Amino acid sequence: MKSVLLQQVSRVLVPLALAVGVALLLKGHDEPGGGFVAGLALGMAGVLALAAYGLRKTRLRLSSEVGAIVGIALTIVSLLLPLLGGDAMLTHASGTLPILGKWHGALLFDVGVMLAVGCGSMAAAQALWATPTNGGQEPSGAQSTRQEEP
Amino acid sequence: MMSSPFENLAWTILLAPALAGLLSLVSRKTTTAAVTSITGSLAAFTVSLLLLLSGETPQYPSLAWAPELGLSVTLRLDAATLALAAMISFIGAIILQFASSYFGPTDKGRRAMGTLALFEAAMLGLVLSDGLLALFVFWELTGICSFFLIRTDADKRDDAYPAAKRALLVTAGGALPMLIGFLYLAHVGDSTRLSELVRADLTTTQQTVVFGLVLLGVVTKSAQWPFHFWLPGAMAAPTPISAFLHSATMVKAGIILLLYLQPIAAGSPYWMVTLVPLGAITCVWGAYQALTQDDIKLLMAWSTVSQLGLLTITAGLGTDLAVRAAVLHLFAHAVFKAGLFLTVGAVDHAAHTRSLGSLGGLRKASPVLVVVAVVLGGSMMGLPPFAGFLSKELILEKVMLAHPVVHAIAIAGIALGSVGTVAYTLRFLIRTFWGSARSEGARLAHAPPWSFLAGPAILAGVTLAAGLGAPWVDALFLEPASTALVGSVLEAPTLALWHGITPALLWSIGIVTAGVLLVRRMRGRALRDFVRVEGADGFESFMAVAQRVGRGIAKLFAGLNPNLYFAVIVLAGFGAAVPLAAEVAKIELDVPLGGGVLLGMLAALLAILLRLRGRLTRALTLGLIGSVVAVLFRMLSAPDLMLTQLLVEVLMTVFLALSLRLLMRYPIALRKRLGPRLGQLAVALVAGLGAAGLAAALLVTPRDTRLLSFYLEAAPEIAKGRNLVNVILVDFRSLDTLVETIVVVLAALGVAGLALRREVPLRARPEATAEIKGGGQA
Repeated sequence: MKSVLLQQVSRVLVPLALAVGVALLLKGHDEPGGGFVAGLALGMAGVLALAAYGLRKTRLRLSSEVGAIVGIALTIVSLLLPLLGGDAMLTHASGTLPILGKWHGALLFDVGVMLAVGCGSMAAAQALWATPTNGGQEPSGAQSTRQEEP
Repeated sequence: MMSSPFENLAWTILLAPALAGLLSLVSRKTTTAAVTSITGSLAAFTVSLLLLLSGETPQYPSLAWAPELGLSVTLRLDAATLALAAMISFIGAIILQFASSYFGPTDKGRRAMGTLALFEAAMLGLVLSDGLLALFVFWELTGICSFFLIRTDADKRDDAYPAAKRALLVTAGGALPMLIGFLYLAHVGDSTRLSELVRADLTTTQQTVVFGLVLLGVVTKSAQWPFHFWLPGAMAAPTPISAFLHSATMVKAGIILLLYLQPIAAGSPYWMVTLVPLGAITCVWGAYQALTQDDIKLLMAWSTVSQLGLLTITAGLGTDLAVRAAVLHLFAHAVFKAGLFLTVGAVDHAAHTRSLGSLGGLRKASPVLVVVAVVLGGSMMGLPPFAGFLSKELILEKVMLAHPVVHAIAIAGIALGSVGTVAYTLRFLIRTFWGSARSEGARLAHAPPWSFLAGPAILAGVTLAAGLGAPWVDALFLEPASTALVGSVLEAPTLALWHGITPALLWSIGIVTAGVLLVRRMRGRALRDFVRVEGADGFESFMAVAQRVGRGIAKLFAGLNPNLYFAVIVLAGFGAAVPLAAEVAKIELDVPLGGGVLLGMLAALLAILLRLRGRLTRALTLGLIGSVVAVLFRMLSAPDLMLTQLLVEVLMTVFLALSLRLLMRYPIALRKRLGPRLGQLAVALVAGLGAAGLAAALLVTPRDTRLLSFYLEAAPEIAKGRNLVNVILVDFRSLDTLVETIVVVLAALGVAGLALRREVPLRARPEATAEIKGGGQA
């Protein structure tokens, strides 16, 4: 299933997709882009790596499921943060920093959306990848995800 | 909103028990849990007492939640709510102390104490909330805590879990119409805050609607007939829990709500004629049941039902003076009933039985317990000089002032219920503490340790002190509390033990005499070992029918045929839009050259798609079509859409390909049969025509640009962003986005869960596999 060509191409494309995702995230507030699209780019990078290297090499320290949940937690936190400052829930703060320029509280929210979408799609892809296709014969790398099951 | 120390202090009433509860739940040791939860309760008690005595009431500290929607968490701190809070936290501290010795160093006890403290926080929120919606949330939280607390002993008792479920379903079910009532009240009264609604001038019809909807919440929570059956069932809970939730506090929530709503909705002509008879039936029935119980804990439970009926009668009278009587009895009952329940716990601990048929002669084992029980029982019977006497006198006095027919019902209910109360209390006291022991356990009974006696003794002291210090109780607490509830100063004689010979006193003497006679006549009568709680059976059969219906509906959709789901979704989604397809004719076509080329490409790709046979190639072609559409979006100057469409299209194709891998075992069935093919054609036609119709309708309808201009103006100003789409997503409608994100993640995790299931249903069930294979060969 693994092809050298795909691996070589993905060496360039995966970082590129990640960079595009981050760029989409950062400029999303003023120009086309945003957390959702950034998440899709992230997911695409993940799926490409999955196709090129298989399941075992693309498993991260933290599983994609955890990433997705952390994403949701981030969005909730960013919505509740204003309560601490005495503002109503869902109020995003914004302002200007000396070197970095304009900043906006919504960025945290967008990061959460990106993680949720990106890691969510990655989790689904990994699971589908790990599923045996015929007669209980599992493709390479599938064992590691299924060890915890009795 | 003034004086901030006051405001900030007030929040500790809620936060201290809540925090203590959470800490107890995560703590390792039972001792830590006990100390933490008792400290939390005492903190809440101290603060409420301080605020109550400071006299700076009423105050409305508020926390903004979503001000645009008028949503905030606001507390109402006045003499009545703070007195209730003080009572709840005081009894809470005593109960928690008792619980720590009752459970001993067990994990179960640690959890129970944590949950009790959480319950206490919810109950405090219920009485202190000014907002109707917050009140509702706390109301439900008490019910949920009650569920977990009743099933504490589920490992030992089979009836604990069903009883917990029944209590939850009955009270939560009654709360639903109540919520509608709250929303209606907020609508017609133009406020969600009780403190403002008191001044709202509702018409009689509006008051009746509010009352009718809220009534169900009240009668289910406060265990009024015919919804009383869950309360005796809840006795499956350990004794401290029953003492706190199912006698002193939670079951009072309905009565408290009645008192809060009295200035708002008591103008309804149905207020009195509904509540008084309901209360009278409950009061008499509860007393009768209590007389026939063998288990002293069940006796106390039925006694609580009866006393709640008495409170409903009083609150149902709807006059200002009746509110005063109800408030006093609510407090008096909470104190003596919590004390009696703890006494039952101490008796159970000492004699290892709660059966009146086995107990007896316990007076020798523990003289202190006898004194405590007699004081508390005397208060329940309404004997002087205890607090129960004061409140019962006050109720009897007020009943005299009522409407003639209702008067008769009320007086009959109260009289019969009270005669029963005297009789069952005497029976409990005599058969438990006097006579000779009727079992080995009772004979060998030891004196309960001080840790079991302290709680009931303190409560007995309170009920005695309140009776002796009647004028101070009136001045310090009853007068301000009833004034706060009613909204005007009451012209009432000062509370005192001795008023001279009044009709109420004569009634009291008559009731006690009748009670004593009744208990003499009952001597030697056989006890019922087990009384079925009527109503519980009816409830169970109702639930069984509901479940059968539910299963029937589920069966309609169960099965492994996704085609059916798909057809239903498409037909439901696009069916209604099919007639709109006529609008297509109205579109004025103005296609530029590039667009024409793209449309041609689309048509060619569609034609190819129809000719293809392989699944994977079809999926890839679908992806190509989507990408062409994305380029089309770019031409129509929607770069955002193009970006999203392209990325989604790529991922979709990958996912389709991955899913198709799972189907590789099954060859494509070339269906030749006409029926299914016609069905598919119909679904496809509906989908196509509907989608075209929707698009056309959107194009033809003149656009309302007000919203667009609002966002164009507001986005850079308020949200500091120029990308409208993203600004709307992350700022203006961030709550929607949050929910959508959660849906995305849930769907992803769902896919992961389904795919990783060891037994894929298709393979796990041989007959299903055979079916599919058969389909493939046909």
